Amino acid sequence: MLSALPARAHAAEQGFVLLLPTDFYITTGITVVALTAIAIAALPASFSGRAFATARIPGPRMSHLPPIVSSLLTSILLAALIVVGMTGSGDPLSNPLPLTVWTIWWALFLFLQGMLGDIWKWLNPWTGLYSILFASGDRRLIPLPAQFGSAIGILALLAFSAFALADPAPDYPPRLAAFTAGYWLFTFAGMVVFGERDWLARCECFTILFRLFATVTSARFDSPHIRIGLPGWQIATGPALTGTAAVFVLAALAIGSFDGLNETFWWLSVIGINPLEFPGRSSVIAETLAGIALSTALLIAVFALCVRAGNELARLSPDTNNGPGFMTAFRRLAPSVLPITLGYHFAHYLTSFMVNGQYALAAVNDPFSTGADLFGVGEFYVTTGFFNTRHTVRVILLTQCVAIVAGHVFAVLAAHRIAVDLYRTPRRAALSQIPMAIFMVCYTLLSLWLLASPRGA
Amino acid sequence: MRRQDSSANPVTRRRLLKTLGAGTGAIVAGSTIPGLFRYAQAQSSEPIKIGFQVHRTGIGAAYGRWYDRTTQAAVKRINDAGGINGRPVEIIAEDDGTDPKRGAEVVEKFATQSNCDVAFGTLFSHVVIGSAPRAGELKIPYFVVSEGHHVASGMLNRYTLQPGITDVKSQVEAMGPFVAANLGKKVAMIFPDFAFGHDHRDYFTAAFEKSGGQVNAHIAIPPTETSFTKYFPKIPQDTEVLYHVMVGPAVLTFVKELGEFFGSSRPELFGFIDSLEAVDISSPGLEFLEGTYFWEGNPRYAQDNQTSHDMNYRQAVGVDANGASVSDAKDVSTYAHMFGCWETLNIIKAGMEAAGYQGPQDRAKLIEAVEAMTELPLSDDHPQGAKIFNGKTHQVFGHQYITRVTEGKLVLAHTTSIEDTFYPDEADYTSQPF
Repeated sequence: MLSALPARAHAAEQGFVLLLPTDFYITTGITVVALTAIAIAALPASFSGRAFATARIPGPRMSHLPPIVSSLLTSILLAALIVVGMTGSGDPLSNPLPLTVWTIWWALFLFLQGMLGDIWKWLNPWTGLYSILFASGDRRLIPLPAQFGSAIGILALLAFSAFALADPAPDYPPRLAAFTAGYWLFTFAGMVVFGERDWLARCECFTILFRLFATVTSARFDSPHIRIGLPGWQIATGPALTGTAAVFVLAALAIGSFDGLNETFWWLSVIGINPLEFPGRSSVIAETLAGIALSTALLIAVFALCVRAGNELARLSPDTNNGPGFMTAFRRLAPSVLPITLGYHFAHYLTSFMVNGQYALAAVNDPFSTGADLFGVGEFYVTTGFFNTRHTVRVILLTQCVAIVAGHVFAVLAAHRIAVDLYRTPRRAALSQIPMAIFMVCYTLLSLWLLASPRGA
Repeated sequence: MRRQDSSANPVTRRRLLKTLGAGTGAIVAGSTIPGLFRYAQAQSSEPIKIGFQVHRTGIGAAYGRWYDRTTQAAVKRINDAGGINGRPVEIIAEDDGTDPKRGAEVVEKFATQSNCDVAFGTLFSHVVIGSAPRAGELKIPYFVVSEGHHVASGMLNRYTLQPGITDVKSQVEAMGPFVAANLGKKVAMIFPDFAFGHDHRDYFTAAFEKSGGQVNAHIAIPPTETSFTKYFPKIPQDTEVLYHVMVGPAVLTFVKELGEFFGSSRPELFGFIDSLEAVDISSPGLEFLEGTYFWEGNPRYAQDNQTSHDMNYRQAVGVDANGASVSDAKDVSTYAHMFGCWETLNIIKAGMEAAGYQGPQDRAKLIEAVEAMTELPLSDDHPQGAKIFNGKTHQVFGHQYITRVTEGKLVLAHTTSIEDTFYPDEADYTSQPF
């Protein structure tokens, strides 16, 4: 018999979470979402229209020049980070590359994109260089077949999630540097061959995801004005996505949720792992890949079923027989889950950001792990003390819960507003939304349960 | 030959190191021994590289953060005092992801890519067991700080040593006499139903019965359990001591429910601090633990009889008298285990100096030098306490501490002798060829 110390990544935090009245928080959360769904169905149709009305206020006048300079600076920064990743410290909490990619860019920047709008347009690492090398943005060697839709983007997203969730060492600096450089080159080559606009809009999974997240924000910049409305107004009043883009949206939600699910005692039991003795990521690669594929397929299927059931229910209303087709409804309604994805993203990454954000600050102070103290902060100790008191853990958990519930509330509101458009009459819109509202209430339960559930990986 | 000459002449060498330590190469340049000068300059510019295998990500990350902090502090102290054999020490940190496969890759990278002299570090047993064979194949000394019994059991190899932390078998067995003499003769054990809990069950039961006690119940809890009330009625009525080693996120729930079950009339409680390592013992919900006993590898709270060595060690690592970070009183360290990094690095230093270590060709000499170690006195190098190293089993033995929760702090109640922790040798690594 050989002793192995058991799992204890932030055990105190989870210990306190298990002692908090999480059943009450979960019940409250799903009640809020359910009441929102009932209220919006009961209120006059004009209400959901008014809820997503926007105001136009004057804003600064901006030139329409493409954001060449900022994008070029990002490219240079990325190149420098890749070099540091290849040659610098092998410690992912000292090397600036993994801290920038996972903590600053993926955890923080994606959230900011959802709160502030499309800053990725300014900070992506491709368009600046592309504009300099190829003056016209529409230039391409081969047209990207229209029937591909966003299929390449979906495959890229799945590949990325496989790397982030299933690969044994996505934090390992040289490995991450190779993947980052490889993806940068792949994307740039795609832009050269198939044209910047098509490749970024349909194949580059991060641009697709970031642009989608930007539609959740409440303020949109339309030079020289700013349009402000309820978060999600651009989704509620926007055009339908293509079929593959709608699938992309659902895949992003499913992957985000699986990223929480795969740490739970429940999932570890399902794959036959002792949750107190997690053997390491390299032992569960196949299970994680299967989990990504299954959860993505399951979510798409469930969502499609809800749309179909909504269509059928709407037909029960005698007003008229002309409802939207399934694909029309599917393509319009899919983006309504984006606020859920954003809220869950915030909740999921909050705790790791609170720790790794400190390491990122330390890395800014000492980027090459040479003991430098560029900003004169002196001895700096990373702390996790906030996981060690009941009070701070409760504040953290409630913040996560609020983000999740808010995401679901805006999703319910946006879906209803879209249904009013699709089904024309308030009665049919309300009937059509019964399955979707049940889906979103259940998803609130899932998302909150993921926060409250004991974790072992 | 020059190299041997220089190390065979301690006076010359010591003077040389002193000179280099002062950073005045010019004086050395005036030396009348040109050959030695070339050697000394080459050596002085080249650091000793210690590959640090650390749990940066994965389930061991909370331990890894403190192992890293202790390691950096220990290396700073060694370098401030002139390094090893006059050469500075450089830590090459690599994340093992708390994953045995990656652990082996990290050891391989130390040996073949980063030109490390030795590998050092990691805690979790499955990573050690996954990495040690690779260290043996690549013939790189691998100093582990995992407290597992796998080193002394003989399952690893001549290149793997555990000289800085005692193993779980000796820790648990040393508790038997204390519990029997002070807390009670009838013990019920409650433990998680997997290897970690089974070790406690087997080692403690044997040691306790040898001390004249009787274990009247083994209550194994499935690892997925997060509520325990239904198991408490299995504790026999005549139980005098409840031995608990629950771990994982549900530990606080376990203590709370135990308190609700027993109320004010509880048996004596004895546990291993592994359950609550890095958890603030004065947390709400843990009041029930007042007056109960814990094994601690190293007492988290500075005690009345605190040595200057513990004081210096705390200060170097940045830990206050309550075992928390000096920068955040709520950031409780993994104090019971992390001293092992500090002490292991000092063993590496002492071993390299005894072996006259110059480079990877002297790795076998280094291992022989460590194998030759026996008594390690209490000192700034060994602030946890005096130890005795067993060169045959590659395992160190030392004092164990039993503390009692008193007004929300862990106060020392008993210190075992080193002899209390001995058990018959199960291996002789010195008989294995290099």
